[in-house]
Amino acid sequence: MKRHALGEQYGDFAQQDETLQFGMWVFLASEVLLFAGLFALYGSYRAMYGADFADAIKHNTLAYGTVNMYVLLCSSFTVALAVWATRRGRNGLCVAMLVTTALLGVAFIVIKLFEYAEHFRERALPGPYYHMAELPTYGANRFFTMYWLMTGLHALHVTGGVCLLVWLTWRAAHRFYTPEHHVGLEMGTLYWHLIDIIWIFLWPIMYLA
Amino acid sequence: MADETAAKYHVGGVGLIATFVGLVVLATLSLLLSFLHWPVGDLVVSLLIALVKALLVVYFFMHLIEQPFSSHMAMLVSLIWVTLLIGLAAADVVTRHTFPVRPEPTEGQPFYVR
Amino acid sequence: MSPPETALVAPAAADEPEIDPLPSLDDGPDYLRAGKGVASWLNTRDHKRIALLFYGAVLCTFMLGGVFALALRTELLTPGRTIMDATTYNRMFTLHGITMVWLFLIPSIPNVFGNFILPIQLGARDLAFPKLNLISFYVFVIGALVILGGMFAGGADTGWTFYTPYADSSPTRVVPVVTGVFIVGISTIFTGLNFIVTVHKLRAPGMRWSSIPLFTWAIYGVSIIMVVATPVLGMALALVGLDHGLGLGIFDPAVGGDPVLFQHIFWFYSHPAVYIMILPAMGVISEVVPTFAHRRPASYTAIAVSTIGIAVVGFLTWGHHMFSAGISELDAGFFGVLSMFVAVFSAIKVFTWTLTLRRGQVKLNAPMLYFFAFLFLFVFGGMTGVALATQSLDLHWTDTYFVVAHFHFIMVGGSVTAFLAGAHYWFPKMFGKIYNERFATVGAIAVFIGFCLTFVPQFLLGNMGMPRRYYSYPERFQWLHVLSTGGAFLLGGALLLALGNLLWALKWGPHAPANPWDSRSYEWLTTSPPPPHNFRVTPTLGYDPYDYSLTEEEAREKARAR
Repeated sequence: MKRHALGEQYGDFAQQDETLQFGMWVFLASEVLLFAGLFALYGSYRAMYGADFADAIKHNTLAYGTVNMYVLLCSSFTVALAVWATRRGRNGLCVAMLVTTALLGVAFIVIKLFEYAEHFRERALPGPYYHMAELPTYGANRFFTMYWLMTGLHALHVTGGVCLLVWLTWRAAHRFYTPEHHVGLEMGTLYWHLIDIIWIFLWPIMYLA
Repeated sequence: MADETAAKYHVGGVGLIATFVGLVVLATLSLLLSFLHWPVGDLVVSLLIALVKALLVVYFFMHLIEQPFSSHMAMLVSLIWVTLLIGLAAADVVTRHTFPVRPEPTEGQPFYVR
Repeated sequence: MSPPETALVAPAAADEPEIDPLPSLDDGPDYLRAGKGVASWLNTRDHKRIALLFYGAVLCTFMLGGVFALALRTELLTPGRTIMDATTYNRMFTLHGITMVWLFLIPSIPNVFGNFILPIQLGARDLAFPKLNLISFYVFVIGALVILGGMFAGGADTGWTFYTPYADSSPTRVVPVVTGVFIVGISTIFTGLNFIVTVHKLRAPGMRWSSIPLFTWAIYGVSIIMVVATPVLGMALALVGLDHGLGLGIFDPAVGGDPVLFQHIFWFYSHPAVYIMILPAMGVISEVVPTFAHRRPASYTAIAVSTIGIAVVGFLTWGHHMFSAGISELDAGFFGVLSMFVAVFSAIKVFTWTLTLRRGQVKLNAPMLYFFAFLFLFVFGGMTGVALATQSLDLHWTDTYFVVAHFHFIMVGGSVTAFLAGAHYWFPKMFGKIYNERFATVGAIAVFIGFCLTFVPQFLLGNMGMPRRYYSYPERFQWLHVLSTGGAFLLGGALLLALGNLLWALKWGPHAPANPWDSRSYEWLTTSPPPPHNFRVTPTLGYDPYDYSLTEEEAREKARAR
C-alpha cells in the first residue's frame, strides 16, 4: 500500500494536508447546494399548501424519524471519536469507532426501510402514485413527494457514507493512519458529519408538526 | 509543521462529549417543543434549533474551529446561498396572487369575473 | 512562519545553493516533449497537457454545435420546410444549445486556458489536485459521449432549458441527454474546486491577493460560481429525469405541482452559468489589454472587485428569465432591479479596459483586434440585456429573436471572441510557435463581419415579433432570416480560417521566444513552451504583474530574488 507521498506541487506535508482539508470543505459546500434545490421545492410547496401540507407531516411516524435522529447524532459522536483516537495514536480505538459508526449507519438505513415499507402499504407515494385515502389533498401529495425525494437522496448518501466508512476502517486496520498523517481519515469523517447535518434539517421539516 | 497545528486549538475529548450532550439536549428540546403545536412559530423554532445543532457539529465534530478562515468561508457561502434559493423561490409562491384558485365561472357570468 | 492563508516556503531550504527558478530551453524537454506516446498523454497529471486534452475536446464540440447551428439556420432560409421537418428542427436548436452551453462555452476558457495558465500565474508547479484534474477531463468526455448517445438515439426537443411540463412528457430521449449534462456538471464542479483550492493554498511565497494576475482572479470568481451553482443544475436535471422516466409528477399541476418551480431551480444555476461563460472571457481581456497597450490596467482593484461582484450579484438575478412565467410582482421587481445592478460591474470593467488604452503603446495584433470586437459586441449585447431587464420591455421581447440576439452577442461576440483572443495570445506560450499575423487579422475581421451579419438582423426580427424556436414564419421576415443565415456561413468560414491558421503555425510557424508580446504577467517568465513543472523551483515573483515601468530583465531579476 502506498504510504504518505508528498505531491510535487506541495512544499511540505502541512501544506498538503491543509490543501486537502480545504478541498474537502469546498466539496461539502457543493453537496449542500445539491440539496438546496430540494429544500427550495419543499419550502415553496409548504408555503403553497399550508394546512394540508402540515397535516401530512402529522401523519408521518414520529418515532422512526426521531430514533434515526438520535442514531445519526451518536454516529457523528463515534466518528469524531475515531479522529480523536487517531490523533492520539490509539489505532485500535479508531477502528472500533469506525466500525460502530458504520453499524449505526446501517441501523439508520434499516429503520428507514421499515418506514418506507409502511408508507408503501399506505400508498403514500410520490405524485400520481399517491393513493392515501385519509389525506386525499394536493398538499399531502406534495408533502409525500418531497418526503420521498429528500429522504431518498439522503438515504443514498448514507449508503455511500457507509461504504466510505468501510474503506476507512480497512485502511485504519492496516495502520495507514498515524497521528502525523491522517488527513484522509479526517476528510472521510467530514462527509459523514454532513450526512448528519442534512438529517438535522430534514427531521424537523418532515416529522415535527 | 504538525506540531504547529497541534499548538493551535484542538477539540479534545471533553469538547466532543460536551458537544454530543448538547446535541442530544437540543434534539430532545426540539421534540418536546413540537408537542406544543404552535401555528407558525414551531417551524421557525425547530429550524433555529436545527441550525444551532448543525453549527455544533460543524465547529466541534468537524473541527472547523481549528481551520483557517477559508474553510469557514466555504461553509458560510453555502449556507447563505441555500437560504437565497429557498427564500426567493418561496417568496415568489407566497406573494403571487394565484392562490386560492379562482372559482369556476357560472352560467351567464363573463369568464373574466374577478 | 507565515500564517496558513499565504503559501509556504519553497522546498529548497535557505542553506542550499540558490537555484534560479526561471527555466531555460537548455533545461530539458518541454512539457510537450517530456514523455512520449499516447499513454503519457492519456495518463498525464500535468495541467498543461490536460489543458490540451480539453482544447481538442472543446474544438470538436464547438464544431458539432456549429453544425447544428448551420443546419437550423439553413432550415430557416424559407418559411416552410427547407431541409427538415418541424420535429427535427426542434431537436436541432435543442442540441445546438446543449452542445454550445455545456460542451463548449462553460468548459472552454476555464478548462483550456485556466488549466494551462492559472498555475503558472500563481508560481505553482501544478494545480492542487492534478489527479482530480485528469478525472475531470474523463468525466467530461463520458458526459459528452452520453449526450451524444442521446442525440443519436433521437435527441431532445425541449430546448436546452428543459422546461416542465413538456420536458416531463416529451416523446424524445430526454433521460440520456439530461444524464449526460449531469455528468458534465460533475466535471465542472471538480474543475472549480481544483481552481479555488489552488488559488487559496498554492500561491508563490509572498503573493498576496492583491498581486494575483487578473486572469486568475477571473478564474477564481468563475470557480466559485461553478462549485455553488452547478449542483443545483444537477438537481434540476435529476428531477426532470425522474419525472420523465418514472412519472413522479414533481412539477405536474394535476397532482398539485408547480412547473414554475422547475424554472426557479433551473435558472438559479443557469443565470450564474452565463457568468461562468463570460467571466473567464473578461479575464482573458484583462490580460490582453495591458499587454498590448503596454500599460498597467487603469485600476486593478476595479477589475478584481467587479469580478467578485459579478460572481456574487449574478446569483441574485435569475428571475429575469421568468418575467412572463407567472412569478409574483415582488420577485419580478427584485430580479429586475438586481439584473440592472449587475451590469454596473461589467460597465466598470469596460471603462477600465478602455482607460487602460489611454497613453499606451497600442499594438494591433490579433488578440487586440479580438478585444475591439469584444468591446463593441459585448457593450451592445450588455445594453440590450439591461433593456431586457426592464419588465415592461421584456414582455414585448421575451421569447423572440431579440433575446436570441442578445445572448449571442454576449456568448459569441463576448465569450467566443475572447476565447479566440486567448487562443492567439497564449499560442506562443502553449506551443512555442508564432502564428501568421496577417491571416489572423483577416480571420478576426471576417469573424466580426460574419457575426454582425448573423445576429444584427436577429435584433430586428425579434423586435418585429418573430418568436424564437419557431420552425416557420410569415413571408415578411424572410429577408432578415436569409441575411442571418448568410452571416452564419460566413462566420463559420471565418472561424475555420482562424483555426486553420493556428493549426498551420503549429507545424510550420517560426519558433516563439519566451515573451513575444513583452508582457509582465507571470506566465511569460517561463519558457515557450514551459517545462513540465513550469519552474525549476517555486519562484518568489516579487513584483506587480502589470508593472510596465520595469524592463523585462528587471522583472526577471525580481522573480529570481529570494
